[in-house]
Amino acid sequence: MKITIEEIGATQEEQVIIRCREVNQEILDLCSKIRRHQSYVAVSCGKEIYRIAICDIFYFETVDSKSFLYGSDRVYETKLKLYEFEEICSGTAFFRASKSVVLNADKIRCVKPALSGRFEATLENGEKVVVSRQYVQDLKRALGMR
Amino acid sequence: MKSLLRMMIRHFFIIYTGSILGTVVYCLIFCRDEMYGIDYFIRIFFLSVLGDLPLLVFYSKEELSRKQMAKRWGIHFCLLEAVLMAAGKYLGLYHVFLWEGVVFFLIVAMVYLIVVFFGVVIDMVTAEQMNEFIRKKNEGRFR
Repeated sequence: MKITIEEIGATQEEQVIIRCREVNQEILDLCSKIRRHQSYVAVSCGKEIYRIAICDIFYFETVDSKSFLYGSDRVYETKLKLYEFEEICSGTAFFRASKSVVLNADKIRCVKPALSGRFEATLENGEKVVVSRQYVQDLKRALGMR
Repeated sequence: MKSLLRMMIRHFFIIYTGSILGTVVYCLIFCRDEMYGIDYFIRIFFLSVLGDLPLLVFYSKEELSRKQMAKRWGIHFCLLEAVLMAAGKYLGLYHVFLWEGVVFFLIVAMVYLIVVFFGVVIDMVTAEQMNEFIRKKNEGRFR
């Protein structure tokens, strides 16, 4: 499949056009992936409520039964439970990294080994997140290694 | 807990198989005519179970930090040495406590270090492979 990317002006609306011979399952999966990538979640930061795109989220974490979403430089609180966030993000680059963290593989800058078969992922904003031993296979899958 | 139990079962079979293979190699080199009864295999079985039990120190409901993990590795090593030294003495793997015991301690420590070393090497290779994929992915994204 040939991929063409065309840069447009700041005022024009961004769009994805798929030109195919027939609309098969592969194309439908691709469409739902793009839609999920473009979807938003409602979050709060202090008293303000925001809508942030899933692709802008670095990782999701639950701490003391509260859920937080981490952007490049801000932390937002959300009402979503970990399993709900996993459902919303299924089919995207998000994967379960530990008991309480769902991580965006697209935001990983590099990975280095931690002790006992665990890995430490350094994100694009410099933050470090531990990937548990039992979720290393999910990380490999998210990176396209499997 | 489930993943820890899975790891313990895997480790048990590795220890048991390793011990039997070690015995085979030892006998092939030093005492080809040696005969072992069923009690020897039962002793190895219990030794493997005892060697496996210290892994329980890695159980935690929450994700362990690097420092906590390092601390638990230290506790695991001490526990394993204590358990195997006691079991070794009981099973008659060493007799004169002073120097045979020290040799036994050093053998356990050496095997432990070798296992940790190979674990680290495998993790480093895996991390390098993952970083290669990340590089390729990022190149594709920003091209």
